[in-house]
Amino acid sequence: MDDQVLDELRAITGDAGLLTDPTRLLAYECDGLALLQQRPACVVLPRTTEECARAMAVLHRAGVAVVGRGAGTGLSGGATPVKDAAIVGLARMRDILELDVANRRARVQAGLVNVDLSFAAEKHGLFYAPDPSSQHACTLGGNVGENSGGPHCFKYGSTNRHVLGLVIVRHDGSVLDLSAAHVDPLGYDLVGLFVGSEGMFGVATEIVVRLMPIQPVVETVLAIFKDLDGACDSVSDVIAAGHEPVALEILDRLTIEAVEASIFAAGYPKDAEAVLLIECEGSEAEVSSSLDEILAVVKRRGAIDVRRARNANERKKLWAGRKGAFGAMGRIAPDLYVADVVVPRTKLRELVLGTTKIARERGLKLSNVFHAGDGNLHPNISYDRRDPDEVKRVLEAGDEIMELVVKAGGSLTGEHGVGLEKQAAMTQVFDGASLRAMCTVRDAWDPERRMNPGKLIPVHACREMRGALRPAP
Amino acid sequence: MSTATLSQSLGAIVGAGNVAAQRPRFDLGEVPLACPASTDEVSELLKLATRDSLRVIPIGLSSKLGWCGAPERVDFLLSTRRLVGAVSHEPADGTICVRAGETMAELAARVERGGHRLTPDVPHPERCTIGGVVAAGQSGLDRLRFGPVRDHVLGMQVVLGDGTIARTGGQLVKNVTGFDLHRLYAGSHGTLCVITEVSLRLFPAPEHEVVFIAHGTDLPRTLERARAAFALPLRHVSIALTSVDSPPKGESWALIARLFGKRAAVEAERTALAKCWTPATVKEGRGAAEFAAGFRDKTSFVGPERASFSATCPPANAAAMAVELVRALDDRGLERRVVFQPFEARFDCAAPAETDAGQLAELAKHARAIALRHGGALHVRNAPLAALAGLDPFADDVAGLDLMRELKHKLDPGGVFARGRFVGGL
Repeated sequence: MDDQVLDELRAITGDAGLLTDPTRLLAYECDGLALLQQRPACVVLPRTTEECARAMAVLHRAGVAVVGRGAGTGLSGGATPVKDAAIVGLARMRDILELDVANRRARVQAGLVNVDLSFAAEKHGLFYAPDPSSQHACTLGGNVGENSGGPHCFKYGSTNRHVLGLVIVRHDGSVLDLSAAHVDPLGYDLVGLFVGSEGMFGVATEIVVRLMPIQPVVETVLAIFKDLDGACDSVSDVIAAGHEPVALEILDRLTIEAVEASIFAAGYPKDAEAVLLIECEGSEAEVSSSLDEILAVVKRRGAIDVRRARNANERKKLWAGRKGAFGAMGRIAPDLYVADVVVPRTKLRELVLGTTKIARERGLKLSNVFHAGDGNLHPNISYDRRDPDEVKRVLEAGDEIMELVVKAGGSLTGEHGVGLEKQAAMTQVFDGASLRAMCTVRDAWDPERRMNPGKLIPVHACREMRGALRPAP
Repeated sequence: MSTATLSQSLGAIVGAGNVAAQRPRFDLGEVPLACPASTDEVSELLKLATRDSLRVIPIGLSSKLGWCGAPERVDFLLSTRRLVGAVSHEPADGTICVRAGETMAELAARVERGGHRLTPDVPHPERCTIGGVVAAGQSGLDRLRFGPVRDHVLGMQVVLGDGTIARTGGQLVKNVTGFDLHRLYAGSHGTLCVITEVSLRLFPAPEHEVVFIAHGTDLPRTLERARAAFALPLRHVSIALTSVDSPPKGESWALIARLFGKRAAVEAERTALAKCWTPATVKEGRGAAEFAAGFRDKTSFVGPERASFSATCPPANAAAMAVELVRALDDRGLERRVVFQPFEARFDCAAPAETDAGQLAELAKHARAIALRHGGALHVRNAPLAALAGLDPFADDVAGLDLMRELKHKLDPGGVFARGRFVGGL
């Protein structure tokens, strides 16, 4: 990158806000999808919307591609740079600007870590509902980019339902202030459209979110199964019977073993083939009647034991195992490929079986931990990236899993985004006309296509620069 | 092109029997109304419009045509009313994909047969279509529990101005594949596309239902009772205040709360609310459902005969805004016809039938100033053209309008969807 451009950026952010040292840039070569890597030209770390806007204007004049980045916990390569791109990181924008208890809202800088908002809101009896497993690290800005989910999104919905307003810095450094947070959008729903746009419409610097009241009664139950099918069928039956728990999460045997051997050990039984984590909340009557009926369903479907958390600590421990599951996988192999597909909830058993078969046929180690209530599967393949043949088999399995799921009426991603990983597979879900409509909308936001180029939209649909490592379909 | 020639061209696509003359609002004279029976026919109609530079307004049953301003020009109306039936209904998965012209009443009955309940619960569901409801971003009284309709749209099939048929989203309860263009199309009032199919998330049908009705002498005191109910840990479906036409014993406000869900939970909630609201009339089961439906329909203010205002603001300011808006009516000696949902921060008010255009314009400007002062907005609906002179029905000043214009320009470069109707002249 031109020295003059770097000098201009440094003048805006200060020395600490501009990274150019190749050693420090190593940390920004990829996100959680370590298979795809590219070193950025520099990393810009603004502290305010105004700094971000000025920096983006400099990059605009210099014609530099921009990749927004929260904490880099994404799993689809959405924050992986393209060659010569500048990363605009949110790491120094972590303030809660306003906690508006009366309106149950918060205005935050986009680099705020997800869980920190709930910690701050807790004393007011409020919490922020979307809770990705990485919530202790991921940022709300990253969550907005990916429309992130989490276990409790089964009841509360993904990020899009909780974002009321945004301040966005656009491709040319102009600031679009949509933070007024009206009950209904005035005009087109630009905020709703921006959420989940994977950094291709601009960089969100401030976010207004909805906070939810903490419910008076919360019950968390672990149902233990001798087979994975019983757990899957229980979930399908619970949904079909019209129950509305807050979360329904399944972990299979391999995941349980990894969790129990790790610092996240939650007391899951190691001899179980699967556990189903169920959470209900609300009034005492609501929780008690709903849970009784749900437990009757799981017992009918073969649950051999049911353990009810007796207090907040036990509940926390059960969830620590679930949320730490991805980290615990490090005990199985050095690398983890986290697939993220979504299926009709009537087909959980069939598709879990199908994904397991795909991995087994390639000699790969696959474990399952997933948001069963939403039909959001995470078939996780443990592998070693130093083994090129294994990497090839992992990628093939990932592609085949997506193909299987799409054929069954499912879709490519439930919460991790398309990014680089699933870009080529987009043609399985959308025809050319539908992809062109997405390109058209993207061009209205960013006519130069400098914002996170080479992501989400497949090359032949939009003449995008290809950033992925895999061959074109 | 003469109207007769245009009607003939439209008839060649949809069949002559499916083209009629219609007189839309705003003294625009008679224009043809074309009713296609398939997405392909919608596409052909829009290709014709593109080729001949015609201006189109998409409608369902036209119940919300008056929610928008007057178009700069319109050559024909395109109604989706013949696009009916489910494309795919998966009761066990809690989702449905339905054609856009299905009425809300038909759709509600369809999902009920699958053990579900449809949201939003809009007034006069037999007079509006799901496509129209989504295109207008219309909420129902059940929004307190379920949120706005845009939260439950899982995907769409649409036809763009040049006739391109495109899809967005899917029929899955969780899905982030691709940009959420359905968020853009929902609430766009037919200025970007014709919605031909909508996929929705469904909610379990309630086992039991209870409605509480209490009365109050004035708005502040009635609001206190509403707040007391809202503070209880109940899953309220709706809490609304409404002005009473013929108040008994000076009780000029009615307060209505609705609860439903699993029977045991509703019974417990009923007990809790009964302790909080004494005295109150309580209706249960079918009686509660019938009362709720009747009340819902009374809140519609739909129809060309009456203009109405819908004001919203941050929830903490809602009570103060409502008090000021009621005072604005009272100060002018105008009849109150009001529905106020304090915890959704929405105040709907029908303009008195006797109001002339000048009075209406003055009242609208005053009411909008009140809403703005409380950090909100005010939408003027069904106002006659004369009352809208110089008044945008949606808002005077909107953030992001340049970007909205660019989106409109890119998605509808031929300007097929009539301009001038939506905010900022979109």
